[in-house]
Amino acid sequence: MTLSRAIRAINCTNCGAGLDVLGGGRVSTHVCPYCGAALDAQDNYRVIAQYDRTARPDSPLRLGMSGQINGVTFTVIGSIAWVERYAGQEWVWVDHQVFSPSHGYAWLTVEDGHLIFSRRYRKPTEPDFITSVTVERSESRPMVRTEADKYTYYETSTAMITYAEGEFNWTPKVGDRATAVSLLGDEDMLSFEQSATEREVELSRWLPPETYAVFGAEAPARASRNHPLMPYKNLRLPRYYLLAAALLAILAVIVGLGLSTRQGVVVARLPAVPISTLPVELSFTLSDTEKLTQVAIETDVSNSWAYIEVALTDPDDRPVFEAGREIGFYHGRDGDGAWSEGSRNSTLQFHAPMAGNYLLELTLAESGTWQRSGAALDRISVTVTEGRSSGLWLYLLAGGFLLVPGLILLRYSLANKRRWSGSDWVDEDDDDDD
Amino acid sequence: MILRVLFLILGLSAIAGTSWLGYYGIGRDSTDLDKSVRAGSAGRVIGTGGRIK
Repeated sequence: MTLSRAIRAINCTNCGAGLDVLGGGRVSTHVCPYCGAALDAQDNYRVIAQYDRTARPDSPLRLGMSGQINGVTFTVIGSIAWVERYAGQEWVWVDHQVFSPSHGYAWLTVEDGHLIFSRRYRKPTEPDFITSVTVERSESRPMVRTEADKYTYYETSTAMITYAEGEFNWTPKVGDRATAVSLLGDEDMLSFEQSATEREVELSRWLPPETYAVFGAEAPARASRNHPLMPYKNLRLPRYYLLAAALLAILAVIVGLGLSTRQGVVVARLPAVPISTLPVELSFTLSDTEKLTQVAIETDVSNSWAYIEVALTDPDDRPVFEAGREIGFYHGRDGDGAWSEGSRNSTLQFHAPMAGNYLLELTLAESGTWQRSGAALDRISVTVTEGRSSGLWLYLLAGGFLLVPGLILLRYSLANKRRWSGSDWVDEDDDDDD
Repeated sequence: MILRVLFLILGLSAIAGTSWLGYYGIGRDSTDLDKSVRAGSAGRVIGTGGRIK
């Protein structure tokens, strides 16, 4: 029997309850929400199964609710509750079959408070279909291409129907299982679904919470913070600023390198002298008081250390400063290969208070060796250079310029990581981290 | 458009300013230099005959 277009309601052939007929001519099964009888809509609403009514799922959407999605009016005609159990965990969601006289059948899924809209995908995919066996055999995340997008494997789920009510364009049976292999694209998800009787490809997209109100329903009090289909909220920073900031950062680094590599003028050099000659005095003349003067100390410590005291007096024989430098260099080889730490060199920088003759005094305060392989400090050399510059402030400025694009990139990276966090595929790199 | 030009001017000005600081090494003196140094002997303390006690 095919229903006349004029018929808007029937009586349940099992319990006699009045049932609205909302689902159009391709409805094959109508499950009575009052008694749980599954009626064959193509055969005089004959009772074909009887289901339990106690497991009614909690969902804001109810049979008969209508609302617009992308300008098309859909009506909720059926509801199916699913459960997936794996490794002691349980996930539940409700699929609502919706119908539009002009656009046919689709699904609204309520999952963790989110609303997902799915439609059958009829265009070609490459490959045509993916099963859980394909996924098991794959050595890398399976990919699927469509005309418009590229999809990467997300998860495989095998779920069981626990409840059904309303009209469907197929015959859901409580207890039946279906396996879906889902692949995630930039904005939507492609699911290859397989049950005992049919195969189908569906395209799913996240709907904003306001859609509940469009259907006259109240949005769930809470929704999970993350859903793989939630769109990434892009910060509206014009590309110009990102590009300009990057170019300014490059310019700052170039200028910084130019300043860092300025050698200055060597005003005094003490060649490698035996340590036994310390304390030693080094006299030199400084003429540039505007830029930095650098005292560079080089030693030959090897698995050993030395503490050198440095004192400088100005042309009036008044002390300018005293300072100390611990210089230590250690090296060796272990299970991970060769290693080293510390340095054989040290520097100190200052602005000369006046031009004239200065006197630098170096004293060995302490020294020692590390383990038996240590070679005590034997020779030391000193170089004094004036007219030096520093690139540090420009490097910091470059970091400041890169902060905004860097934060945007970091935000995108974190959002992408969170988006994929629910995937059941573990890459080898992720595995190594554990 | 004005904002874009302003952003570029501010950025280039910041580079010019930090280049000046970097060229003269301002703020790059070693921070561990002890400049509070005794200049020499305080000399004889008057009235003690050279003795503190």
